[in-house]
Amino acid sequence: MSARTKAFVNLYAAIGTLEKYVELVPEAKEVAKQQNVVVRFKVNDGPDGLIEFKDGKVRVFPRENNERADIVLPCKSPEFFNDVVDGKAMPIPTLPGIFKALKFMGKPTSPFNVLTAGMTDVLRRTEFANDKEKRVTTVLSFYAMVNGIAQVGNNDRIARFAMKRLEDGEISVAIRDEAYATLTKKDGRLTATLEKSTKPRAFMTFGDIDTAWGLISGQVDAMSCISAGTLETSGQMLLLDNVNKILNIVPKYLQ
Amino acid sequence: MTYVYNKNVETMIRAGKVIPSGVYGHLGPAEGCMIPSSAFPFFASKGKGAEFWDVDGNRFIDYMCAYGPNVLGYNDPDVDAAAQAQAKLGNCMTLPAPVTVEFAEYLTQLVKKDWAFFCKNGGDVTSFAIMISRYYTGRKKIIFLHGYYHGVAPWTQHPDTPGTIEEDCKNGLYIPFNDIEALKEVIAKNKDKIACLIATPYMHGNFIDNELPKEGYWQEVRKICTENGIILIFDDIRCGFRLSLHGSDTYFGIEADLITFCKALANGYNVSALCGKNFLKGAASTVPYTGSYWLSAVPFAAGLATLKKLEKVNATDHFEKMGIRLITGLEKAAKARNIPLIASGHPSMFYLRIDDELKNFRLHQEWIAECVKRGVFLTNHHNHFICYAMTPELIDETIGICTEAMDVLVRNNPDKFK
Repeated sequence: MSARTKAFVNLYAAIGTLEKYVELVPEAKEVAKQQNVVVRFKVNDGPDGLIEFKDGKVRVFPRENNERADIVLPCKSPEFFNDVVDGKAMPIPTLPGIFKALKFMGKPTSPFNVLTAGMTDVLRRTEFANDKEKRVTTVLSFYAMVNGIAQVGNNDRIARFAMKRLEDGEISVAIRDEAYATLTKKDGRLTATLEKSTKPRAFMTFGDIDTAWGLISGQVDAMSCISAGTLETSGQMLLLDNVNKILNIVPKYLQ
Repeated sequence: MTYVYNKNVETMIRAGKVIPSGVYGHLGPAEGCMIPSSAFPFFASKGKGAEFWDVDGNRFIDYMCAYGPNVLGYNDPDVDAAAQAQAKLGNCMTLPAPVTVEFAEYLTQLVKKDWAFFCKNGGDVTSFAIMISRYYTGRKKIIFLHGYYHGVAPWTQHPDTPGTIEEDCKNGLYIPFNDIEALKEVIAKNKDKIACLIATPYMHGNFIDNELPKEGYWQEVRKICTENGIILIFDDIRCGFRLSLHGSDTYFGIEADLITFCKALANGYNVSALCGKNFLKGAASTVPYTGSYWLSAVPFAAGLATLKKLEKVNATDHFEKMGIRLITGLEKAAKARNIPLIASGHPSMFYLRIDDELKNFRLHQEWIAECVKRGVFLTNHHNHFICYAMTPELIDETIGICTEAMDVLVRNNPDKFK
């Protein structure tokens, strides 16, 4: 497993799923509302991305246009950043943002830490008190998986073989009536957007929450679900074939 | 009235408990691109001629021919009689039966090669062809043409394929089909390192309009390979005995160094063959390669009977005529409904695709599903096959069913076909 790829997955797939966590869990949205702030993780030889908290919404995106950040958190290496995400290390913020940083993530009760810990708990649940819990865990895991496909496809050395073979276009990934996402191959890169595809060339649709959870948690296999009709795949299947090859590699980064 | 598949589904549920994927590989719902799976049968109960019946008793006019092996017709009486006669004498014995030699003699004469080596599946003989090429040339690299399929052995795969490691693929060189300049360039960059070029006679990859070779393409490839000491391997597993009984290299006017056959070789009995030119016979003798059932006699008897009958009835002419009859009928029906149906490839192995703005095959897959539910077994992703048992009456029945399916498609998508 590559630490660099893991860093991209951690930022855009794991932390990136905060975007949906605050949408799905009202308590999380309240925590996110506590502070409007833009945080930049600047990882040496790794991702350089922004986490924007604004009015209870979260957005995680690459810093491509010199966007301003309130807090800059430099990380000396992907390994260091991965330790930060695992709670084993703490980056030292650059001076102008240090007080905001301390408020935002300086202690366990700081908003960022409450949110990431809360989301981690939700994602790690394997038993559910009710359907709602199962739905939230499944949907969040689904979004993390889709984000993970893009990051692993772009960065993992082996997965890149499959990513390069993808024809340009959009791939619709969905849990029917519950969650929609789009993988887009363009300009030699794969991107994930957590919205319904407008021009899909291929479709992968989990028929319901139970099917999605069964597949994401590894309790059932995709082939059986295709036979049973609970996992629908259609369209330009070579796109899905290559996405599946990337997807096979994603779990080792999302553990 | 469309088909229902209750027993198919029941059987698949049982299968899923004891067989990986229920039905693995290209006959299964996933790799077989049965979209949606609810439109397709999963298990056949019997076959006869150009038709098969599923476990629910639904009848299908079959344009997949078991993905190629059914070349004369299911349960062809002549082939089955020959196989049964040999079975009474012996099948898998301590020594090979004389029919082995008879089959090799007949096959090599038919496909204009000097020797034949028998295995069981297509992948067995493509792998052996690569091994022989490497041994003979002392080189490692293999040229592939984009969209290729030569089996599932690791050397045919990419590093991201589960079960394949990067080292398995490090000697692959990949260039487009029909592109002589790309061939020259890859050879220049890998001078004296390339053992072989392996290719199907034309590009019949999945989900693409099939592409025939440009005028003079194979002649130029042949010349370049000879000049550079590169073994030219024709993978004729899919096209073999459907374009020509003399090998698809002959059909396209060249002579390959090695040529592989399987599918249509024995009308469903399990045998594959690698045939080659004399200068590679010593290498074929030297490279260790064998299998428990490779010299079983029954498939050889079946293969011999198959080839003799294909020759006797001029089968390739029939395949082409039936293919043209079907394509012409479907194109006419599609045109009348403003459906942009595209037929490509050789008529005996036609590929169909309904074009659409998003290039996402949805309309095409919907149409194919409606055809299958009414008793015409087509696929959306793969070229089709025609067997000798196909008749004009069955073709015309097919056109009728497929036209009805087109009407359903138009009704379901009124904005798409104005």
